[in-house]
Amino acid sequence: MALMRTPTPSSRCRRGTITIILLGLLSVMLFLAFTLFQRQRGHGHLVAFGDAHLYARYFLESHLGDVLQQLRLKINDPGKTAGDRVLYDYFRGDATGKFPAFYQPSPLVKALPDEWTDLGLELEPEWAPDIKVVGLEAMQYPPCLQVPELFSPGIERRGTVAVTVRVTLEGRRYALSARVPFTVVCRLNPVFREFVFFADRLDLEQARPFGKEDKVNITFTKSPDYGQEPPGDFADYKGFPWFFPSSSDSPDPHAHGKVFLGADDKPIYLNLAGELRYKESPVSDLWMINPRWFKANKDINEFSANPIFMTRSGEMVRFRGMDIKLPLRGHIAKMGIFGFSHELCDPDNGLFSQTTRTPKSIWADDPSFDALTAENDLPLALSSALKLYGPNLEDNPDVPQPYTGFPRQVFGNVYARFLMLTFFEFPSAQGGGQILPYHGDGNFRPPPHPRFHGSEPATFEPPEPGQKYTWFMSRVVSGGADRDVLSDDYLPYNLFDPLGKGNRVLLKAADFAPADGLRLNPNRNGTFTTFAREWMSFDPKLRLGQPGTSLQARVCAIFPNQKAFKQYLRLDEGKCWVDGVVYVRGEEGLDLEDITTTDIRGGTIVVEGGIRLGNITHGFAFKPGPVDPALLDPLIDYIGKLPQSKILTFVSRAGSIRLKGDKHVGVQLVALTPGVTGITDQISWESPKGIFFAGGLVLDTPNLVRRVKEFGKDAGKNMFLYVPSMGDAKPDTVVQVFPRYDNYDFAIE
Amino acid sequence: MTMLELLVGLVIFSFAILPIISFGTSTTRTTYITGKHLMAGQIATGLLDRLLALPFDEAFTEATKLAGDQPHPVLEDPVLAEMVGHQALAEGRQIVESDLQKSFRFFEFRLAVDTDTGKAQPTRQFKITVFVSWRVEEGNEETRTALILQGVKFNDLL
Repeated sequence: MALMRTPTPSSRCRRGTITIILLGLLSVMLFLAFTLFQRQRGHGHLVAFGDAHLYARYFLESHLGDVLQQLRLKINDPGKTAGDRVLYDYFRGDATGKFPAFYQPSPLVKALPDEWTDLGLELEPEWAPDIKVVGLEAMQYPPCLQVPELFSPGIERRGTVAVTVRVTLEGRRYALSARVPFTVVCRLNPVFREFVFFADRLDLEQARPFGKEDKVNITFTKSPDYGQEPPGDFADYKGFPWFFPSSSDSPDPHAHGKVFLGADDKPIYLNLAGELRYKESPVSDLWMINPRWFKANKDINEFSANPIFMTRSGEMVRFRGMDIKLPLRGHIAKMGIFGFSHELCDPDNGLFSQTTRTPKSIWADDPSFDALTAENDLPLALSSALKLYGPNLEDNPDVPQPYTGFPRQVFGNVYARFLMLTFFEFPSAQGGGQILPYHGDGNFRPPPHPRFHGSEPATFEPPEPGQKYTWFMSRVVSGGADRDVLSDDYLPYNLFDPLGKGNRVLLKAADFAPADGLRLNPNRNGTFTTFAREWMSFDPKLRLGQPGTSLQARVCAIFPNQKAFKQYLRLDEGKCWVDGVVYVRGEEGLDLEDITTTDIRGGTIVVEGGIRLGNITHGFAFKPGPVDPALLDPLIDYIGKLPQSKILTFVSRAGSIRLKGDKHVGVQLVALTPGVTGITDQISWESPKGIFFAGGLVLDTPNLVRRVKEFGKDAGKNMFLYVPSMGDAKPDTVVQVFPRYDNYDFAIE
Repeated sequence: MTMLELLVGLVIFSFAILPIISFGTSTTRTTYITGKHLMAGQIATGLLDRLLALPFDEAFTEATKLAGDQPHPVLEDPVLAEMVGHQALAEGRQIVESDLQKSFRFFEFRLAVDTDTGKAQPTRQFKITVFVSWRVEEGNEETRTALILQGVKFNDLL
């Protein structure tokens, strides 16, 4: 019999406990292992997910960058075909419809998904980006401007381009969205672009229009032309005036560039240059005087070489003038006009040297003449440093004769100053008759002049009742000392006749009517000075891209220094692309060498400091010195066709622009100093040798005394032309896409 | 409980625990590798983002300076060295340096640059490829593996 061990109840119980412990241990271990496995799997998933995320982000950022780069490239490129310019047109249209398809992936970006397949990543990009324009609003303007419909809500705008690009990776659809602000702005500055010369504080250079306080009429003038070595007394006045001829023969006043000589409420007197003989002195400005401007004249349309008085030897001296018939037969008001020239006061070879007359004997009663000659007679030989209608072309066979200039608008209280000599001539008068002397009273009659042979004395009487004596008398026209008495008889310098009625008018800010319709608002203190202040105001708290009314609010890119800006211009690549309004920081300002390329995309360059500028030639082969006459015609043709898109505007906030070169084509310079109280050198030339400038100058004070002397050293005649397109009715715009992104959003959809 | 029972129990337990231990080891190794992979990702993104943030020309100069077949030890990266050398870390520099040494001693990187023009100089864009490699087994160079990341730098200038 086999012995059988029968477990006792206690040992059975122990075995069961051990089994349970073992099972428990195993369970815990299994649980631990399962947890570890789960954790590892989660970790693996997380890493895989993180990697996918990373690759999706880098791909989408590259894709977005590519889209935006192409947007920036094409947005300002008019292209050659309609297909090339879909973006160009879209942003210059209402920009509210479906965004045009323009994007083609660049090879580098397009290759990424294939390259990443080797890394085990299956990228499925959606190459067509989702783009729309949002938040479109009109740009704001300074309060002193009246904004026409063209500008509001139209031509200048701000908004945001909302772009989303997408890719599917590892079964997940990733999207990257960003909003990029943009503005559509004019390449050129409103109001300023209309001007070939804008000097809003020229009054500081003419504290009084007489003697040493007159720093505007400072050019020694003598036939036949400027640039002669003056006699010793005039050594300080050797120089060349600024010539502002026109590059256009259009009858449109906007094509010639406007001029403003301020301040808006201060008078400026410009002495017209005189001549030795009628129409024989290129130096003369007297062609600007039309007999129709004289109220005393009713029917004479052209001056003639009028014999006014006799020399000691009995020869008649002829001057530019006219005879106005008086009521009695044989009675004539014999008028001659004189400009400011050395011949007027030269006792040896002057206009009066062979006669018993002297300027003093004719005009001594005129307070303006007295003021002019209070110290000496030198001012009689000094004409204006500004020739706002260019040189005299009366003897140029290529222009229609009689030469009457071109319709340039000169704004401001600007008067043409010259002298008028009137003899009252009657039968039997000896030696040219009786001088009609200056008198402030319009009803004045000079004492009767005795006749010979005992007949009744002759008395001057205007031809028609109501005509004033002052219209006929010898005087300094627009003299400056009698403005309160004879202001109605002052002659505005402006030749432009807006009403076409033969009236010569002063053009004020309220008359400023540019073709683009952006006028000054008389109800909001709309003066040129106010505009200059408001447009050029800078608010240090205004951030880039924030809305505002000034030029500052148009800036789309800020460069920390000139080096960064020069890189942006791409001068090294033969380009000069501004394409917008940019700002260059730094005390060093901006110093540019010659820019000779024709590959220019214009815009406004605002520089915190001063500017030094070499030549800007647009590819023309200028030689040092005055422009080769053979080059002049092609140059003028080129300027006539030069579009706004190729014009560069340089703005110095420090109010200092020094020109290293003296040849500038398609350039506007703006150098204004807020609150200027004295004459400052804002735009100057370092070594001018024949200045050729096509564009516009905007400053407070040109410092004519210094400029005219500089021009006189060896600069020769200069030429300041306007680029007609600057006054176009529809200003050229540029779309500025800002460099920053807003609302960057990377998400899984 | 007899000795036999105990032995049988231990054998069963050992059979049960061995795969668990082996699994634990493998998990730890995988976690270690994952950690290294993540570090490599951080190094690659850091390097790429740093270059992409520079102005175009500067980015190209820097990238081409680092580009080539020769790998650079991560610890010799001048930016990292500059960061470690910062005065703010003066007190704990030794600890930081030793930690870095421990974590990154076998990490290397190299760069490749491809231009849009296919020539030496890009005009509008260039692609940066970052290779970051490390040893999976610290003592074995043959276990070196790499992470590759690419990004495109665009020229702001038109």
